[in-house]
Amino acid sequence: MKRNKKSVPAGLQRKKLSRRIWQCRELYLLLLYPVVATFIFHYIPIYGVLLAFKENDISRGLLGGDWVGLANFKRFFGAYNWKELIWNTFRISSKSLIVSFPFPILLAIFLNEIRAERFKKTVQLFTYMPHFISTVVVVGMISLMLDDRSGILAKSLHLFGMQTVNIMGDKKAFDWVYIFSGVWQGTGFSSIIYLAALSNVDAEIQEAALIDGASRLKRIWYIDLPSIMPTISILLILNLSGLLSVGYEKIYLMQNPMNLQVTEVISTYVYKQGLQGADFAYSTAVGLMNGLVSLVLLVVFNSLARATKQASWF
Amino acid sequence: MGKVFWRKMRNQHFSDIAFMAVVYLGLTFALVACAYPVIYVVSASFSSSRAVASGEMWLFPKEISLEGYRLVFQNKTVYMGFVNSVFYVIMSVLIQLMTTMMAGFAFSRRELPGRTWFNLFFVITMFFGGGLIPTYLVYLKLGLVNTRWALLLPGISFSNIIIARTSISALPEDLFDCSKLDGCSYIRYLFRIVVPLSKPILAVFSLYTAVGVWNSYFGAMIYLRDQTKYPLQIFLRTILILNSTIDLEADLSSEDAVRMMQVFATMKYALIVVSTAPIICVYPFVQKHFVKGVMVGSLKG
Repeated sequence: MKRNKKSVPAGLQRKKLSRRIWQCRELYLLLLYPVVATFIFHYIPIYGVLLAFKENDISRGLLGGDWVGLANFKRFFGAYNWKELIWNTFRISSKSLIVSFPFPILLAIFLNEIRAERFKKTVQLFTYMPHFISTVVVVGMISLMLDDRSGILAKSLHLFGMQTVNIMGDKKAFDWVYIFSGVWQGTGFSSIIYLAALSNVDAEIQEAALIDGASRLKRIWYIDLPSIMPTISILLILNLSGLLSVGYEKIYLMQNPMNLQVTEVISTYVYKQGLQGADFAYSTAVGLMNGLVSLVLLVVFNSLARATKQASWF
Repeated sequence: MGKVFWRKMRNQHFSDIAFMAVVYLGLTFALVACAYPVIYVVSASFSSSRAVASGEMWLFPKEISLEGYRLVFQNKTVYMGFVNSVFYVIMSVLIQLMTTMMAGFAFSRRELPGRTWFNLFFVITMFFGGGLIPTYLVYLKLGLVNTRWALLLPGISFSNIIIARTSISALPEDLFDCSKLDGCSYIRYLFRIVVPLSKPILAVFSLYTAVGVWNSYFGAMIYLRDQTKYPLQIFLRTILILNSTIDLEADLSSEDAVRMMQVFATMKYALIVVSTAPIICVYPFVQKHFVKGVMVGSLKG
């Protein structure tokens, strides 16, 4: 992002800064709305995080009442279910990352091997489709199809003489329903970026390997995979740093009184305490902790990636 | 196929043939796994409630009936949500395209003093955020809660701005120099030259924004109170997940409970089709441009 002196048009280089600014006045006008909106909707809330250290009294302004130090944080660790919340958040997100991360890579590699264009296009068309179905509808579809009485799963299991349980209310099944519906939704679409990376692999290297008699598997293992490693690495870092911001929108939709014990994560807890319970200061504190840990994760994983000479995010 | 196919096969390693078999099997599985639930839902929506509930319908529609659709189109809240969602989608796409192209263009001009600082200003928002509650409080204090603006105003996507910048930077610089010689201002250049040349990227942004807005429910759940402003997804949630029948009771009070449950399930299938079809019908046309939209990975630099 460094400004390249040479590329600045020659006429502009010697002019004074104020003159250059005046000449670009239209560009500033173009940036006005994005900058103002970002300031209001992103920067003021960052400042508003101070509420975490205040009394819950927003009638006295955005930043609440008097300073209370770490009282709001202490309250969280006094809550009866704080361990459960943290465990659920970590368990669901790490499990889901480990299980679902390889699928798009595999799909992209498979698609890349296919020469039959029409088959390839068809697979792409249908695997991208779930991405465009809303989370509400996906959860609705899951509960319709996995219904223990009328769902298609129950019916087909019945055909083989097996009984089903109420999967949507089952605590053990929740993780896998959540993860594999996520795989269903995301695999196709996430494979696009890997496919793009694979299409940039040098064709000459491939040909050379072919002439030397390397099998397809060998070519994938020694040429394709190393070539897309930077992409994999960046996406992994992104996903790892997002560990704590699990897909709470979907989890919230999948919650019901029967599975709440294993599905309540920090984000849904923040939403319930803060917006449904109007306990703003406390929930800001809980949210802040979540955010800080995410940030630390991002920095740690990014420096790890840099240490191993992989592409890093910044 | 025959001869050519076998000639090709003979020239390959055995492991290659085995591997290709695995590839085709895997892809076929992916295809079926992605398509089957969708086909099932569509078929169920066109079948009689009895055939669906008994499990006789498992792939193609059976005892074709439009009962579910009749109920969906009778439902006033669904209609209201549909209209609201269309409004949110159109407005968001317009705002998103305007802001993204404007900012992306400004960033693409290297002579802009303070470009690095503006960049930093936006990059920071990708890593820090106030979180749900402080953001909500800002909306509250600005009086945006329970207004349609709450869902429209904050529509700035920095990753889109970066994609736009990259794509605009790829335009030949001569184009700009020529226009400038002819006395073309920045804004005129943007709207007369850059925008018409950026159609593929505009198509992708429009699709992504439209899909995102059409499918989101969380923002509306947080910021809106009045039912009359709710987008479709909120009503979908009430019907599909919270199992609320809303104004169905009046219609069906005379029927027996089991039958009502079956009909309600058919209505859900029809509702899924009605709410999802608009998006599903559009994306194949933009599919070839998808790659441009996901190149955020090249953000470095």
